[in-house]
Amino acid sequence: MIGVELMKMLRRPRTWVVIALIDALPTLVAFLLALTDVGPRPGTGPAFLSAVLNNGVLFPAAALAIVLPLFLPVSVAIVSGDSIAGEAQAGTLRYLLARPAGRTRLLVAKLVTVLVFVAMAVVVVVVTGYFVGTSLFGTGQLAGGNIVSVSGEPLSPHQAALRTLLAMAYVAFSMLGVAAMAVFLSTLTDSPLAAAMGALAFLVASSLLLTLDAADSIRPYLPTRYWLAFVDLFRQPILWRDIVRGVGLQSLYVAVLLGAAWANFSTKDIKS
Amino acid sequence: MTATPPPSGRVPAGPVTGPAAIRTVGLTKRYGSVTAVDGIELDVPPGDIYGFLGPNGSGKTTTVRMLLGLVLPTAGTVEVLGARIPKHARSVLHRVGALVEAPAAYGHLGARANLSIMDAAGPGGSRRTRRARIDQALEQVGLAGVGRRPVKAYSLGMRQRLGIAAALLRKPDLLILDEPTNGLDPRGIQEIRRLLLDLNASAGTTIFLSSHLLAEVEHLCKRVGVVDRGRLVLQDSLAALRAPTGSVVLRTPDPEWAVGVLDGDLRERSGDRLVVRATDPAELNARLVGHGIRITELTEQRRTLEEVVLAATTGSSDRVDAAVPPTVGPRAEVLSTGDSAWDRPPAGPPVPLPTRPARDTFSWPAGRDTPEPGPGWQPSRYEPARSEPARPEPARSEPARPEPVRPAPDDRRPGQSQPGLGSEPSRSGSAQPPDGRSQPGPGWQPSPSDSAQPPDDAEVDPGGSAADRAGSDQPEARSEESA
Repeated sequence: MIGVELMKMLRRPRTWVVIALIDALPTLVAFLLALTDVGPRPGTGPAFLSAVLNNGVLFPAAALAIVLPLFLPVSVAIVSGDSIAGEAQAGTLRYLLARPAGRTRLLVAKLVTVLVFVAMAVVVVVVTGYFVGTSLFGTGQLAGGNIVSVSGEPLSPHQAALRTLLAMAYVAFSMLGVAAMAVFLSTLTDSPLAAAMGALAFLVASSLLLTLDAADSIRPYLPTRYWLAFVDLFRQPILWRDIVRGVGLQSLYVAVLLGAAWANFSTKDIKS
Repeated sequence: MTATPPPSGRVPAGPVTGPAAIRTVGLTKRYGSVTAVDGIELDVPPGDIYGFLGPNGSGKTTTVRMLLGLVLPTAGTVEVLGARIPKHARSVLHRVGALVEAPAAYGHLGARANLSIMDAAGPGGSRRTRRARIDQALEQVGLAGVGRRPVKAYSLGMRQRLGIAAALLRKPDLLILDEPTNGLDPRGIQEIRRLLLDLNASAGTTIFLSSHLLAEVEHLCKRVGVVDRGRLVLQDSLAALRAPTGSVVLRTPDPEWAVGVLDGDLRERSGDRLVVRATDPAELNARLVGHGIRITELTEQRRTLEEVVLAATTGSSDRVDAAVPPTVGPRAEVLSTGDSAWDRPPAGPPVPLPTRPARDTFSWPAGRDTPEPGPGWQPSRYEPARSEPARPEPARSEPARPEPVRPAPDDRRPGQSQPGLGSEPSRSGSAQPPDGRSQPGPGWQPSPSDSAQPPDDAEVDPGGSAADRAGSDQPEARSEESA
């Protein structure tokens, strides 16, 4: 079942278009930076961009920071929102369930598919980020190959690679809250668009509340609160506090929303 | 995933050699205060071809969905091939082929890829035999040569065939088909009908056919269940339902003599057509001929399935009448038009010609039995108000102007239709229901193909359905697609 769902996702042209679009933005940024050689002043703009001009090895992390706030969550919301509602809209849901695929199995397969999609998107962004970054900005040979960490201490290339991997995992995990929300909404409605938009509204609301001082008391519980904490992985030493909190908070959202999705889907009358 | 409990439905199979292919007990589904299905007790023995009939919105589809575990019953139980649904769905539903409402497929993929995905999505479809089974199913429904064309480019009939192929893929013991011939042309319908009959005869496949096309059910089914407003109002063998009514219909050029001879046994007469109470047509024939009465036609009267169903059901829930409900009358009036389009509104009063007042005043012709509108009648858009008094023509004294040919009101006999009054229903006795059939309710819509249905062995337009039948002789026939 999981294999079938993965095949369905991979054979869908949309999957690849979305990934290509996600990948296009950081690539465009890299070319603009390389052409103009004008980086954002330190402390402004997306994370790492000012450091990238000196060493392209940091560009994968910068690329993650570029796609994290909007591009990645939008694509995840589209793919997850389509999971059940898309089948319902196409009418194939009733045939899958009458086959019988099993409701829980189908839901698990859809979740795994979403996970794989997120992982694919993140890997593609990082890999192209690495090639684009190192070819446009060099590998910082002048500084002995070391990378200047966010806190100023140097990082060896080995450390940088490891931390980029950790950052990928953290970013992918951060997306699971959105994915769970979209999957839950997808079991409620027969419209994939409504599910994706609902999940995005959830994110936009969270981002908006983060900027509001009056929402201070609920800020630690907002789903997007710790998203950018992956930057802390590039400090020396790593600042784990926000990362751990971020993982805990996302786990909570994922557990609650997926539980609701399962409870709803397993008892739902399929009328589509 | 932490929140995902272990998959349910992995319970071992129930007794699969149970007596019934489908059995429901007190099956009920309520949506809020609406009871869609109300205590339905289906009983479909194995090897049967069962027709599940009912007006639109009577609960057929909800019942089918409950059989497949898609909709969960509010009360009652479902057993399919001896196993409880939805609890043991996983152990039996792979032996059931289903077509629910419309076929569905992934539009960007071809027929083989779609079938392959569906086959791989559940238990019971062996991967080794998959390609062969797909080829066979496509062959059976006449899509062997579709090639790689994506399903979104298919015609309605091709999609329908693909949906049936998906149902046939695992050589199911039970086929649950909801409107299987939707979107097919007469030839396609006939092909599918033959396919189903063949499957039933050769493989003993039980077929549960949900439809509102009476002709289809009449051609295929051995048993029928009729559902109306969520209740099963009838469940019996087709033969029993269509048993002789105890009357004989005959035509004779000497109806007056015949009436005299038959006397008390006459049930109905319209012109030269008589309905006579008699159990033995041969005996009746001998009796009449013995009296020297000539007989043109003599048949035992049987109820049609249509009459049976119309008598058992009330009306379609997709018909929404205006505030004034028809109480009495419209049925008979509608039927008397001799038309099978029973769902049209009752015929209204005649529409007067747009007249130019030729005399001082215009009034309804004298001696004419002006029909009153039926209770459900509403004025048509084109009709001038009945009460509109004709205006006297102010200054017209010279009648020399040529009048259009128009019968003078007094010349007409009562009941004769006026030219241009097309919609007038005749009230004379000669327009009684042609065969004494029971009068249908206003809402039931007979199948459009009821009358257009070719007989089984008729050859209809050899190229008729070539558009959605992909013959295996096409160049693409050999192209293959694996999933």
